[in-house]
Amino acid sequence: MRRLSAGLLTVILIVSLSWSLVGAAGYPSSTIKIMVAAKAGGATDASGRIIAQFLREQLGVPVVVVNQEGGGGSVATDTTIHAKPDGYTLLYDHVNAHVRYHTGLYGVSPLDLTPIATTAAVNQTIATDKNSPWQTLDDLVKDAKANPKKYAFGMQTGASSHFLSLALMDAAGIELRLLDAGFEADKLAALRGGQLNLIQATVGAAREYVEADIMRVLAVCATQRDPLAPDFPTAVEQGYDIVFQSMHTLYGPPELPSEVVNVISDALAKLETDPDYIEKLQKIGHVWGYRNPEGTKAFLQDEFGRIGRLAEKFGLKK
Amino acid sequence: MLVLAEAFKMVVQQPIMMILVFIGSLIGLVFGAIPGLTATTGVALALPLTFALNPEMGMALLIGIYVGGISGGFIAATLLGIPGTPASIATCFDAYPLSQQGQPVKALGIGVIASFIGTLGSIICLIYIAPVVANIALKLSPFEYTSLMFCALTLIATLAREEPFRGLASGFLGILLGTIGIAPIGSTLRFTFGMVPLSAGINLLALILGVFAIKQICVDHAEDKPIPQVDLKVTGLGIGIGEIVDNAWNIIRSFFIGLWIGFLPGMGAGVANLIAYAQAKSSSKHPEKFGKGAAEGIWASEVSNNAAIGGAMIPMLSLGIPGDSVTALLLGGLMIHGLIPGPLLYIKQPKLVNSIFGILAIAAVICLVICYLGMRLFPRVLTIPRYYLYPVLMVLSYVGAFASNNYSFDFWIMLLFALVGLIMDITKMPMSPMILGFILGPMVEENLRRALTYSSGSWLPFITRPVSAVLLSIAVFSIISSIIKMRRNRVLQGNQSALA
Repeated sequence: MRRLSAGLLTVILIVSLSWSLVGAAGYPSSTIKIMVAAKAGGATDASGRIIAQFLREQLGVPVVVVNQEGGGGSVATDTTIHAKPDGYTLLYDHVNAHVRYHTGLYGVSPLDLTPIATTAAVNQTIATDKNSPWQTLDDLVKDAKANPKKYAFGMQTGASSHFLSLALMDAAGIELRLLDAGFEADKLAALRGGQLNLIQATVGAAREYVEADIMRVLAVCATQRDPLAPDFPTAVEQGYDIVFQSMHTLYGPPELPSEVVNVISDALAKLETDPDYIEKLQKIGHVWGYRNPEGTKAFLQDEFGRIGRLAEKFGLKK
Repeated sequence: MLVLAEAFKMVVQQPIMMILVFIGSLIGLVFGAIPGLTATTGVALALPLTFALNPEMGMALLIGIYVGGISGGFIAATLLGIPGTPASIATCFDAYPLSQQGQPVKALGIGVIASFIGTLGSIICLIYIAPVVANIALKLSPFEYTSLMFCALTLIATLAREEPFRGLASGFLGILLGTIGIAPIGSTLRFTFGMVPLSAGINLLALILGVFAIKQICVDHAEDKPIPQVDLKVTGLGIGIGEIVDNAWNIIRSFFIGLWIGFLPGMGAGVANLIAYAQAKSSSKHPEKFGKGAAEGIWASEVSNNAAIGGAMIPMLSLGIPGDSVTALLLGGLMIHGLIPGPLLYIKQPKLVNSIFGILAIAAVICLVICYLGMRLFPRVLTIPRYYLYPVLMVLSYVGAFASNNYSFDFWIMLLFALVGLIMDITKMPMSPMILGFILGPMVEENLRRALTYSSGSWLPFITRPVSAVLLSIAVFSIISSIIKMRRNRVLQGNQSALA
C-alpha cells in the first residue's frame, strides 16, 4: 500500500512538473488576465474588452478583463508588478500611468513594466461653449494673453486633463485659471452652465455636442486630424505644439520574457487588417495606433519625459 | 400616461425583449438579495454579454438587473439584518427587528410595495419631467452641492438623538474613515501608511459586509439565539391599504428625496435610503420607535432607493451624465454601440428612449410579481438552522467583498470592520451615523474644495447664492432643533429618574 502510494505520488509529481514545463514552452496555454486600470463601463474598459476579445480569437485561450480602478489605477499597476512574469497577467492603462508617477501617487515608474504594444488612442480636444467669441486657438491665445488668469479651464486635478491644460498653457504661453470640475460629464455640465470657459473633451463626446450645436472645438491635441472628426483642426496645424493623446498601452510585469512579449504583440498587430475590430473601436471613439514593443518603449519614454517636464515646470513634481 | 402605455406596448410586442427583461430582473433580484452582490456587480458582469446584442436588447437585460438589484436588497435586510446592497442599509434598521418580532411577512410586504411605488413613480417622472429637470442640473454649481450635502450630513444629529455623544462620535468616525485614500482635489495621499491598496480608500461594500454581515454572524453565534417564531401566513399583499394611507406623506417625502438624490450626479440609491430614513425619523411622531421595528423606516428606505432609479436615469438619458454607479455602466453599454447619450439622444434615437421607458416599467412589474410570489418562500430562510445558513453567508460575504474591486485586500477591510462593528455594539455606539458620515463626508469635501477653487477661496457665494443659502439655513435649523430636542430628552430622562 505504502509503495503504491509512493509510486502514485512520483507519477503525479512527474506529470505535473512536465505539464508545467509544456506550459512554459507553449505560451499561451491558459487564461490570460488583463488588469484594466479603470472601472467597468468606461471608454478604457470598453477598448480593453475589445482588445481582449481579439486576443482570444488570435491566441485561442480565454482572455479576461479584470477591472481594478482603485487609487486612480495604482492598484491595477501594483497587481501587475507583483504578478509572476509569465504572460498571464497583463496591464491595460494609458497616459495616467505617467501622471500617477510624476505627481507622487504611485512610486513605481511605468517604464519599469515591460511594454508590449500601444493599441488604441483617444484624441482629446480643447473645446468651448458655442456662444464663445473664440473661433480658433489663436483667438483664445490672444484674448488670454491680454487677460491673464481670467478664463477658467475645467480639468480634474492630478488626472490627464490636468496635464492637458498645462500643455496648453505651456505651448501657448498663456495663464488660465485651472478649476477642478471632475469627470468629463461634469465638465460638460459646468461648461454649459457658464462656470467654465474651456474644457477638455474626447473627440467622440465633442462630436456629439458640436452636432447638437452647443459646443465648439478649438483644437484636437494630436499631430494628425482624427479620422472620426476630420473637420476638427489640430493644434499643431494652428502652430501650437500641443500633443496629448490618451494612448492605451498593454504592459506586462517587469522582466516578462521577450518570446511572450512577441507572441502577444504579433497577435495584436493583426488587428489593423480586421475591419470589424477597427469599426468596433471607432464606435467607442478610439483610433487604432499599434506600435511594436520597441516602438512602444520609445513612445513611453517620450511621453514619460514630456509629462515629467510639465510636472516639474508647474510645481507638481513630488 | 400615453407615452408610458406606448412604451409598454412596444416592449411587450417583442417576446425576446420580454424574456430578456425577465431574466435581467430575476438575476437582479438574486444579486440584490444576496449580501455582497449588488446591482452594480450584476450590471458590470452582464455588460460584456450585451456587446453582442443590439442596444435595445442590451438595455433590456441591464435595466432588468438594475431594477431587480435595487428592489431585491430588502429581502436580506429584512430576514437576516444584512443589507443585500448599499441601497438597503437603512432597511435593516427596522425591517430586521420587525421580522425578528415574528412579522417577516409584514416587513417584506412593505418592502415589495414600497419598491414598486418608488420605481414606477420615478419612471413617470423620468418620462414627463426629465427634459425640464435635467436643465436644473446645469444651473447647480459646487456651492449648491456642498450646501445640500452638508444639509444631509446634519441628519447625523437626528440619527444620534437617543445617544448624542456616542452617535456623534460614530458619525465623525465615519467622516474620518472617508478621508482615507487619494484626497478628492489635489490628489494627496492620506492615511494610507504607504500601502498601495489603501490609496483606493476603504471599499464601501467591504465595510458594510464587515459591520453588518460578519458582525451579525459572530453575534448570533455567540448569543446562540433561538430561531424566532414566525407568522408565515400571507393574506393579500401582506399589508393592508390602511398601512399605505397612514404612510402616504412619508411615502411622498421619501419618494422625492430618492428621486432628487438619484438625479444628482455621483449619488444614488445608497445615499438616498439613509437620508430618507433619517428624514422620516426626524419628522415622525414616534422617533423612539425607529430602530425597533418601525414600519415608517422601512417605507422611507425602500421607496427612496427605488425612486433613485428613475432619478439617476434623468441626467443619464438627457445629458449623458450618470446619476449613480449603475447608470455609469449603462452609459458604457450604450457607448459600445456608438450611442453617446446627450441632448440628441431623444431626437436621434426616439425608439431606443421609448424602449428604455418600457423596459423600466416592465421590470418594475416583474419584480413586484416575483417578490409577491416569493413572500411565501422567503421567510422560511428564518427557519433554516444557523449551522447551515451561516457558512453560506460567510462564503457569500467573501465573494462580495472581492467582487466589487477584484481585490483580495478587501477581505482584510471586511474582517477589520467586523471587529469595529463588534466594538461599536459592545460600547453601544449606533451604526447608522458612521455609515452616513462615511458616504457623505467625502462628497462634502470634494464639492467644498471644488467650490472654493471656483470662487478663488471666497466663502461668500455660499450665502449669496439663494439655493445654497436656503439649504444652509435648513442645515443650521436642523442642528439647532436637534440640540433643543436632545436637551429636552435629557430633562425628561432626568425627571423620570427623579420620579423613580
